[in-house]
Amino acid sequence: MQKMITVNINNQEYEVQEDCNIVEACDAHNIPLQRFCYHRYLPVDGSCRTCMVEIETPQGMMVTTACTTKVKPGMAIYTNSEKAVAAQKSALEFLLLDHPLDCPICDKAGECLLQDNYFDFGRYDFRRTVARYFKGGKALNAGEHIVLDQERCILCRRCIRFFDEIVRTPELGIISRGHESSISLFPEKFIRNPYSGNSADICPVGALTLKEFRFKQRVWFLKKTKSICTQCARGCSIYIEHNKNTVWRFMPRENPALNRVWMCDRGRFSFNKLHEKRIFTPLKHQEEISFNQLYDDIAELLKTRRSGEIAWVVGPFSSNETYYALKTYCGDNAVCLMPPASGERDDLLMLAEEYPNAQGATFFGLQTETAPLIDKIQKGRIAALIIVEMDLFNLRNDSFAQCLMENIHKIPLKIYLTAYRDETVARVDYVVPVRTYAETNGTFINATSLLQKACQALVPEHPDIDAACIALYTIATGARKHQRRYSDASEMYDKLRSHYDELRSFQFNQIPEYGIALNMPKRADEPFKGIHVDFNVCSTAKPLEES
Amino acid sequence: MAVQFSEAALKEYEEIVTRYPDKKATLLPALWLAQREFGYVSDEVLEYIAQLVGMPAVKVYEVAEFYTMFHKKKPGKYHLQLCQTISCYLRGAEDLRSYIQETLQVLPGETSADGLFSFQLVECLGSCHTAPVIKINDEYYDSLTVEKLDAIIRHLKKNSSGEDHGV
Ligand code: SF4
Ligand code: SF4
Ligand code: FES
Ligand code: FES
Repeated sequence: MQKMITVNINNQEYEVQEDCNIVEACDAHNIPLQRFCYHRYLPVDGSCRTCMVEIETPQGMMVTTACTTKVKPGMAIYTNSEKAVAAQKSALEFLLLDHPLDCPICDKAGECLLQDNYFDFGRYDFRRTVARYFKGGKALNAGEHIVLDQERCILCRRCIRFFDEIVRTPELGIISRGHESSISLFPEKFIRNPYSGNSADICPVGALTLKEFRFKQRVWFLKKTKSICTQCARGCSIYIEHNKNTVWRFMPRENPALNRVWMCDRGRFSFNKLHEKRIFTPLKHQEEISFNQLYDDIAELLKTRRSGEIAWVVGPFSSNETYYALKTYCGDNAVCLMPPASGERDDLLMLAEEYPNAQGATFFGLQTETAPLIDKIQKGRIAALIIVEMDLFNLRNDSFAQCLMENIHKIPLKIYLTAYRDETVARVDYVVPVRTYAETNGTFINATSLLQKACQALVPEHPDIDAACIALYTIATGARKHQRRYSDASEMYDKLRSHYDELRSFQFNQIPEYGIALNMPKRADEPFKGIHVDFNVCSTAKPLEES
Repeated sequence: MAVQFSEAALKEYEEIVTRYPDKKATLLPALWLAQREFGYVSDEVLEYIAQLVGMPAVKVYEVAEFYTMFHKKKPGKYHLQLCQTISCYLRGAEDLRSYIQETLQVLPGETSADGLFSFQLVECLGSCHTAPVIKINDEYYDSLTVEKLDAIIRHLKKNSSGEDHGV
């Protein structure tokens, strides 16, 4: 625990963390103070000059920037004195002076610090007497994902610091002087780093925007659902931001112990996949059938098989609840295949394992050894194979997938639980449509053994589409709809938690915002390895809602 | 990389490096050297300097763009730097500016069509006692009037038609 000291802000005493600056002290106690360049996860810059406060010093009262001033015991700070307010207003006035004010066509509107701060701290009388200066530089192509509007930039250098200090690919700079200063790339160069999307998040104005989000939605229509990214084993905390049952963007969600407030482009721009190649209707030999017929047929067919003849194959893509259902209801013939870890990786966040829950499969003790099953398939002893949420026939260089292709004729019944119309769909007898992770509640364990929940953001296209864990339960037990024990995947979690000491005290809706750190061996290093950034997150600060 | 210092310039640069504890400190002298070598600092030159000094190209670009004395474009054979600060302004710099813009058909930041003259407005050249002042390449021309400037320009034009490179 950090040492606390007492300071006096606006004539009232507050306990604050010893090593914090005045902006952080104010944040910890909800004392409003404007800022642009200060960002909780970046080194302090002191370049925007808007966070003005008045402090008492041995030399007398002094107006200074709060973000560059560390608190001291007994320090007297005024955010609302006449001088402080005048300084705040003047600094802000300069930032707005040559601003294009194209809010109606700016994607940042609604989450723009310039709008918000002006609303709270601005002066409303327009005092300009000389001609306006138009900086220009509109809608420049700045990279694969980023559009740059130089004239909207307020020169806070957040993007520069993010690229310089965190990603360590210096790509942006400020050129020229005075009112002509603009944010710029080197001529003819583009932003190329794999974390570029974050620059648009932290840009306090609409100078950096995302091609994938521009002109798509007004931010005030978006609903935010707490979830995780499933594109690699890091499992960054995110918000799924959606409207009208469509996902419009993924935004990193603050998690100090995990992704801080960043995410990689691979993860961020995977949101479209949730709506692509979806399958909503059950198939029997590629013909559409009803859900009733689907579950009746499967129950009928499986009834006649001994459990030893039924095999279940899952991948590291499923939720803990699905693994639990497999372990609990599906007998001993369940294996989890681990595809090769072949993705891009680095020391920040990205991991080579392009799947979210290998740790979950381990936690629930799923078999990963496939040799015994391969043997049984080759000998024709498997009468039914149920594939769960993994495009098995698209796996290259995998001995199990190989064996399956060669011996497919030896398995009379193949059932596939999937949310997507992928290669495996065409090779099986029955297709059971299931929900994507955005359409159900679920939990996942990332590579550093953090259990996080992913909450339901979207409503499935058809009311009979179940989460994979519930579909599995239904198939394995032959339960009729009205006999089901679970109506939601979170109930499956609430059932499973009672078996584990580390989870027992957390109901699904009480799983902490930052996850539960499990005591199991990690599969990867902690994020941001060897990257030392001088920032300071006060333990008393409330979570960062947006930049 | 296409551009490169001559051997002499490279030697000079290496000597500069010995003067500072950190190579990054050589950025400004390196840029000066480059401007002398190549006449101006193109994007290509900036990338070369970045590599030489061991800094990201965009940081070198920031510095080169900050200081107006670095030319990003090829300047004219004669680079006219007219002081626009207060003493010169009071002593008629505006008239000189109009004269240049009209007779040479160049605006600040531009180069005349024949490539002979480029024009730039600069801040105080530190010669206020002889205001108004124009610096042409590295020479100062003091206490100017439109007539004096006209004579100088004519002289330069005449010179450049021959092979005389002196200013
Ligand atoms: S582009 Fe945005 S983040 Fe970068 S300096 Fe300008 S305002 Fe700040
Ligand atoms: S690092 Fe992995 S989990 Fe994080 S955003 Fe990227 S792909 Fe998603
Ligand atoms: S937030 Fe303090 S100077 Fe910008
Ligand atoms: S004002 Fe022109 S030289 Fe000083």
